[in-house]
Amino acid sequence: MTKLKSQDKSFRRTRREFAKSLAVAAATPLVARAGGALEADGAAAQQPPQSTANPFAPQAEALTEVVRRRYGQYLNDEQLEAVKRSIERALRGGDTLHKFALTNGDEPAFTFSADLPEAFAGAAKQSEIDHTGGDRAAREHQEESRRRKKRQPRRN
Amino acid sequence: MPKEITDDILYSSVHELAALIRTRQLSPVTLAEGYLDRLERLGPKLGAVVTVMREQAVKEARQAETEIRAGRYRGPLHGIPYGAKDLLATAGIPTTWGAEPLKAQVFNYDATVVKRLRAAGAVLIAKLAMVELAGGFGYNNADASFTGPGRTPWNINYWSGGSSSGPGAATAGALVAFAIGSETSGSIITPSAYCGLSGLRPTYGRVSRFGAMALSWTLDKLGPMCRTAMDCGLVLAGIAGYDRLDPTSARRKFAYPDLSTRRGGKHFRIGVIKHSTAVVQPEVKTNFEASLKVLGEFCDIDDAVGFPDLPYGPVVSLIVSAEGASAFGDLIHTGAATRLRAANDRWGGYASSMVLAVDYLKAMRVRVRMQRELDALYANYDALVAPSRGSVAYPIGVDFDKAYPELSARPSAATSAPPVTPPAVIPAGNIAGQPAISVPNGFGANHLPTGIQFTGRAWSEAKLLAIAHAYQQATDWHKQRPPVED
Repeated sequence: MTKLKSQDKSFRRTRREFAKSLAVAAATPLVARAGGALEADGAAAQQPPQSTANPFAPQAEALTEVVRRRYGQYLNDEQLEAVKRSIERALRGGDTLHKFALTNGDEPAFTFSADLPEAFAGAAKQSEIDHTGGDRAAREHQEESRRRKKRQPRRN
Repeated sequence: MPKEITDDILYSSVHELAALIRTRQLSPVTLAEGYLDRLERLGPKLGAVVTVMREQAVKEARQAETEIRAGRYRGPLHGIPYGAKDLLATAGIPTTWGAEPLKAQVFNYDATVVKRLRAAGAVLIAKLAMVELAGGFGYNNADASFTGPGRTPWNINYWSGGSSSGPGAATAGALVAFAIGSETSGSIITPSAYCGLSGLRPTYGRVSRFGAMALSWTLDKLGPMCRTAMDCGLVLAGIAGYDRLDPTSARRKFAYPDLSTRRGGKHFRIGVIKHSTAVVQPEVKTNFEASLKVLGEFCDIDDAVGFPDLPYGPVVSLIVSAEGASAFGDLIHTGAATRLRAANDRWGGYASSMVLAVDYLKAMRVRVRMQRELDALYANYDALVAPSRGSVAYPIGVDFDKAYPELSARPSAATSAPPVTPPAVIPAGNIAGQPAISVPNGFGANHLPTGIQFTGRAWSEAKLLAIAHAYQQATDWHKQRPPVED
């Protein structure tokens, strides 16, 4: 069984080495490149040709170190290498988007509202929604609506 | 007198079955038992099934029969047996998300889609297999479910497609009358193409996601996988609509379009996405071109529509990675993700968890720009068409990126010209939340189906269904039956 990196004394890096790798990553200029595509249906992405200079490698190395430190007990060397390649692809993808000149007014494709979603308005608690599937909250809401209607005088 | 259950019955469309059930020529109980027997017999062979719900199904079918005999007919889905992709919560029945670590997961509530189908009288007979976690961790091989690979009934040495692998295989093999699948980026369109089905990806927000596993809160959609476009319309009518439990569901009604009347003349305007056949197998191209000839009989066709050249791939990848890593954070943090089936899935979530927040937000901002450009294009057409997939189904046991190595970007006819990259139609449509329907349009290598997809502007499902239905009135690919018994 492959020894996990966290257990391999020869691999343990000093804090100074780790900090150095982060400094290298931060200093590396970003270069616009096309990114790969990962489709949730699993279709393999076509990767753009790699140039000989790879500015993303140090960044991917640094982020992989984060993965190793957080989750090293779950992943072997081969998997960590695969993680690093995948992180590099994601960084390339992110870099591709820097070509888009967005203004401060370009908001992301989700909106927050100060109004609670309807499912949470009223007496229903989050835990009730999660564990009773919303049926209980829905019934309470309906009952409250019916009570309100009964209290309102009819208009002819 | 109840009809005997023959293959003709089991392969009938929902529309045809509904007519028989409504006129009491066919018993919902007999029909359910016919599909249940087939699920138990052929489901394992196709890797299509997680849980067969015999007891509950027969009970619901008996209730349907009683109601229909009493004159309380609920509509075209009444008494129709269906399967649900195993990411839809079903009270008291395991909902496994296709994942080994979650095999024993049970919710005590039903997903809204399940509730609505029950209210319509449909009979849930099985939870259907799926790619674990809907493929969000980056699988690269068909063997990515704890139930094993889903297999297309057309040739069981080939994948049924994913991530709705079970719905694809089960519907195509007549183990159910229809199924509910889901799509984040390709997971209804792909198995529909690979299994010879009519599969509809609705507009984002058309169908409530409450009770469905979330891979990506801003990309996931639930939709019907059926034998015909008309059936997709019938099922969508039963499940669409605002749900207070899903704040992203839209306050828009979906009216089942009247597809019964055939009108003469050309009354649709469609565009062919330029370069959509640049990197496809020869039969995919041949079948697509034949489809255009058929469409030309009732559509005005603009045959080379430029598709906005935008980085759809990186945008969808960043969104799925970031949202998926968050949605499945527990599996990542506890190490349970390392017990997933596919090799890539065992480490993929860890990589996804390192997507930079600013990159994700950039993707979400660029997404809006993409939506606007795509909408401006689609405003000029009833639909844009392309092959559903560039190849037939992938072989079982071969990593996807090695399945069809000949399908790399090729130079155009002039040898000095640069390779042509086909537009990423599926990611683009999903990023913009647009609907699409894939229907079968022929066969390719190894007698595997190919498909054509009709993509449209947001909320244009009725139009897409009408076009697809008209296409199916003029062709019979959707009536072909796979050799699943052989």
